[in-house]
Amino acid sequence: MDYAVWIILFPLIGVIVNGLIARKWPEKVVGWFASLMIMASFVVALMLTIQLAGMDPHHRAMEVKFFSWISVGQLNLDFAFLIDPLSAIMMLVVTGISSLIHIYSIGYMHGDSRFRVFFTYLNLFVFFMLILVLGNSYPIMFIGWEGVGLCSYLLIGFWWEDMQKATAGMKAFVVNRIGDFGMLVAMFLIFKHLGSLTFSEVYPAAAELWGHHVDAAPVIAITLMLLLGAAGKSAQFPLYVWLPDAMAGPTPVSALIHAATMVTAGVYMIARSSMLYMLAPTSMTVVALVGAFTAIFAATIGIKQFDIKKVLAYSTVSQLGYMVMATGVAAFGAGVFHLMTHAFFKALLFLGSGAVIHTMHGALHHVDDHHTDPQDIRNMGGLRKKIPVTYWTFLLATLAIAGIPGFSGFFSKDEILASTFAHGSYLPYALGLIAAVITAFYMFRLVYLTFHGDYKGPEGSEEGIHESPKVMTVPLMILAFLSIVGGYVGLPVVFGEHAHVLKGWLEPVFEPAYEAVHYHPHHPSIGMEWMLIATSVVAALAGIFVARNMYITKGLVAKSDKEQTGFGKVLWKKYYVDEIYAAGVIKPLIDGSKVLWQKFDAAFIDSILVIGTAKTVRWIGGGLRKVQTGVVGNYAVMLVVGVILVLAALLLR
Amino acid sequence: MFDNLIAGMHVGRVLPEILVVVVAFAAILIDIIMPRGRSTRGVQVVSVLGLLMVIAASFFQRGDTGQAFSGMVMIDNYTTFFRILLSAITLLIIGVSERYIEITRIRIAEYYLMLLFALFGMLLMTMGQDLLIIFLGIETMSVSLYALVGMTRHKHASNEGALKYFLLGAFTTGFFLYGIALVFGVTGSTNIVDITVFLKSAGSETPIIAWAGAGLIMIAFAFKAALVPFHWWSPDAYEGAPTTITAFMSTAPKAAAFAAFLRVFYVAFGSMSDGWTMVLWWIAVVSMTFGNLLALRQDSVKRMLAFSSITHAGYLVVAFLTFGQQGASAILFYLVVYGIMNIGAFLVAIAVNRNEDDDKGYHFDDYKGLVYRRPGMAIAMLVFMLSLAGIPPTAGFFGKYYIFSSAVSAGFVGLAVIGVLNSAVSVYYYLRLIVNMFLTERDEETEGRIFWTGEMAQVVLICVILVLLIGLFPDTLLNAARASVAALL
Amino acid sequence: MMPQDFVPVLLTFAVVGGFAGIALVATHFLGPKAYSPIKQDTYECGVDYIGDSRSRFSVKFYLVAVLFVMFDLEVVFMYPWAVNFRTLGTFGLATMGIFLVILTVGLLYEWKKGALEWD
Repeated sequence: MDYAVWIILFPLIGVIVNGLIARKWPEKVVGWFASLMIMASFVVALMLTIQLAGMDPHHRAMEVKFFSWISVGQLNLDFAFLIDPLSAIMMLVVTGISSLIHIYSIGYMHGDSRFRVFFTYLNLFVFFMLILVLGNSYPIMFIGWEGVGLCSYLLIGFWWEDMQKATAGMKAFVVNRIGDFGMLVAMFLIFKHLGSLTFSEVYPAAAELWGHHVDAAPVIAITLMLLLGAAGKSAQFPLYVWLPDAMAGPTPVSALIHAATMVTAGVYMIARSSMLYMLAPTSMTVVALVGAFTAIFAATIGIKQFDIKKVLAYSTVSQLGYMVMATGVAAFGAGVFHLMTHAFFKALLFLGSGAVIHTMHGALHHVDDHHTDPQDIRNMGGLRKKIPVTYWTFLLATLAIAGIPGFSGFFSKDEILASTFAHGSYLPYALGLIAAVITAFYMFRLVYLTFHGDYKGPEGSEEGIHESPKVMTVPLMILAFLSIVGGYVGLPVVFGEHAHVLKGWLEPVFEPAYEAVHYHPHHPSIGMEWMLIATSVVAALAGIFVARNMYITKGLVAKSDKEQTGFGKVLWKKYYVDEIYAAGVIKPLIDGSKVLWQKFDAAFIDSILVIGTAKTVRWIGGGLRKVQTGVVGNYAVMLVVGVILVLAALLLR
Repeated sequence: MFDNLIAGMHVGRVLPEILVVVVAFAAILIDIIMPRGRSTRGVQVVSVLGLLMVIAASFFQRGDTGQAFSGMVMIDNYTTFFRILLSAITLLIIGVSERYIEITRIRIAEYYLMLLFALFGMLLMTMGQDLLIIFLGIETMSVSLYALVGMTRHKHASNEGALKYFLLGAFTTGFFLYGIALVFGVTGSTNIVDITVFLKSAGSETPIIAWAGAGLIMIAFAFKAALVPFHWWSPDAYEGAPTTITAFMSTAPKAAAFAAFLRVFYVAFGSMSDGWTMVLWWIAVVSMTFGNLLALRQDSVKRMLAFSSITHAGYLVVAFLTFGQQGASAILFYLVVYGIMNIGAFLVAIAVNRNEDDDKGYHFDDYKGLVYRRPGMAIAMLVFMLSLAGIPPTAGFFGKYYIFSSAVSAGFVGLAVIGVLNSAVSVYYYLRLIVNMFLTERDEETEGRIFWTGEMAQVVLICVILVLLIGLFPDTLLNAARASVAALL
Repeated sequence: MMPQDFVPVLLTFAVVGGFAGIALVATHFLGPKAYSPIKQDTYECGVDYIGDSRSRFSVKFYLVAVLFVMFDLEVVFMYPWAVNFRTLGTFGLATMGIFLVILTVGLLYEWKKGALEWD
């Protein structure tokens, strides 16, 4: 098992080589080297998973210790990995998708002046992400947690010459700090009550302590604090605001970090902490509601966005809501399932949008147009014929996210909705179902406006539209393939008892949590299952139909910014959440801190406490300085005085 | 008869030391053969390669522990730890020096030779199991250092510092020898093992002459480690010396002095600990406080670092007087950490210094707005300053943490409080530099040309990475320190 | 050896010191005092002095002296070795060889650095 360390060493080598050594290397070498490192890491992940699969299902967990990290008082932490079915899925998704996106970026970032830096950051991100999912304790997970946050900040603001983009990075950083605060408090509480932070020790201890009377105050506090952390990282209401702005980063970054991997860390963390959540049903309800509300809230905003990436961003927030909702109804497996399929199709959607933006950029450049926004779908249309590969892959991903039967998104989303219904959480189910309709609607709106109809860009720029190079389209095709077949590892019960391979694979991870509170996951009857499937399908088709009716049949062209009215304007303005934050949180904070700074800090702390103390100490120092005369004779005399003092002290003890 | 003698030598155990001497002599030969003034690069390369070999030899030889030269020296994990630390520090200093000695007009091969001889002396100190070997080591090291301090012959301060250091050092040598003589007079031996046996059996009946001897030896070590009130030489010598040498002197010889100090006092005079801990208590308090208060008033970064090194030596004494495994391992840990962060800080200081030939260089004002000119350099200095101040997540934090927690668990709560208070005061002058770098506008008048070489960049980067790595993963180093100390106690 | 073993030595010190002190003080009181320029001169009888005894001379003399001491010590080591040459055998030969190599390198060094040249 010692080779497990290579899974993080490969990305680290990439960081070191690209960061320090590769200064003069050509672009291609840098890009392929970085990609190769991640692929090597993927191979290691595969080997580990195969080895894991060969083990007895009930003992499918390996702890790989590298070195002892901190031992202070009671706290003994090793730097170690926990490799179990859950982290295996995560590391496969992370390394697999990262490999594809690395390759894609070679084409996408071609010609950027900081090409090498970009790949250094990407490798660094993978390194931290793997630490996050593989760590065997909360603090190690937290290292990864902070590390990916840092990389996210660096990459969002990658083009920091643009002030708006730099600010977006800052916003992500600040909002995430709120979540991190929750994580830290949760860790303190866990350590205080359970005396450890290692997963394998925390969970049995928690089951022992709270197993007999659930909903104890400490465990509710812990789980809610963890939820705060998850809400920050996984962009849940009300901390989701940073994610749409994070689209300022290069598109591969949006695909990798802000869709497929990092933002799912919160879901992973809740799934990992399933034991704690099962012990706190109240928190579970909160989790389910937050998830469901986020799902529908973000979906409605998605209806009225015109920036291709913004639509996808809100769609991501909404889908993350589904995952969180799943964990809230104790369907952890379903949440992880959706995490996986979402990683495939959302990465594909982002990469596809990247290809569109890339080509639009080229087209606008072709006619020397630097005002038209290459990301605005109102300037697109009819791209279907020009860039067929992008179109078809994008369409497949859209079918997957809309929940059309046969595509991966259908299986996972349906399982979430079915579990929610069976769990008896009807309100979240209803919200989720409506969100599904809206999802199908806005996704097809996106497809129709972008790829169908007539080209609405500036005159003559059409000639500049070309299909992207192979390095970009091949990853798209691979992801498209995965978006279709990715769902077949989790066939619903109607296809047989053991059709859901993924559930069987993940079972040993969540089993102890269920057993601790004697919980039996509810399964809808076969008839009910068919009913639910039918409902979902109808919902999806309804959304698609409306979209088709509006944008193809009636040819409604989206209105320009100023013509938005009524509720449409509210949606377009994203419910004015940013404005509310600005007026309700940021301004009072700035005003308050001004008062504190001028009256309290400057007047009291600085002038009396700090400067006063410093002056006193400096005054003493000035006196002492006279002793250090610089005359060697004096030194000798004082040295002898010292000798006499020491000898006197020792001899006259 | 001589077969026994040869067998008792165990020459293989002192292979690293032999290597150092061989490298030094190879360097001399290169200097002789090459034309005048052009030998330094060759000497540097040979020294670097040789020191890499020394480190490798020390590392691979670590299993073969035991005495050598009929008990005159002892090779154990403790020795190995210091061998690697001291060789590595010397290696770093030699590695960055070539361009520096060129611009300071001291480009002569003796610069490297003296460093190698100093290293040899320090290695003798760390492995000496006989007071005379330790004495030889101290003298070899000191004579080389005198020469190094005075290397910049065209600078007044350099000559002055060297002369003061030499005079006071020679003075102290007398104390050390006298101490050895007294101990020999009482115990009939200069070997640490024999002394230990004798003093243990004497117990509370330890003759007063032995106390006097121990006291004089302690004074000599306190002098070499620059502890108050035996530190008088250090500010002038540190300031006068070429800055690379200042970086060297504030780390390696200090570590070597503590290595021998630990061995002599924990082993030979271990039975007299209740006496010497009391004296060291006071030395620790005045060293920490005095160094701090003087550092506060400095306008020169070099002098500030010089004075603060007195304070750091004071922290080390805090751990020293706990007379236990925990304290001793904290010392070893801190010596490594201090070496890394101090060398890093001095290198950045060299880079930023406005005018090397000016005796009044290294002014705090040189750093105004450094972050706008050289962000990487400013961030590196930030890391070193935070670490020196002992703020997490840097290595310096854990260094101080282990020192003060060892003091608390040994019952020296008052001392730990004084230490922490001093540590808080020290934040003031480290922060002052940070403020100058990050929160002050650029000032064209105080800006000078940045002196920066690839070697310096590499070493500074290594130091930054190590400071952060140790700050995040302190256990590896701490375990190494513990294992090394276990050989001693 | 215990401290009390040194008591006779201490007594001797006391007697010596005491005698010297008493002699000095006694001559001061007992001796006749006559001041004259001749009495105050460096040498009451004999040649006149021609300058300060602490005259300066070239630093090169020190260099030669230091080098002399070093190679003088070399002989100090070699002498006992030569006397016991047969008993010490190959081991002694090898040791002395290493010692001489080190010294030779030193000699080469000072030669090359010009320490042996007067000007």
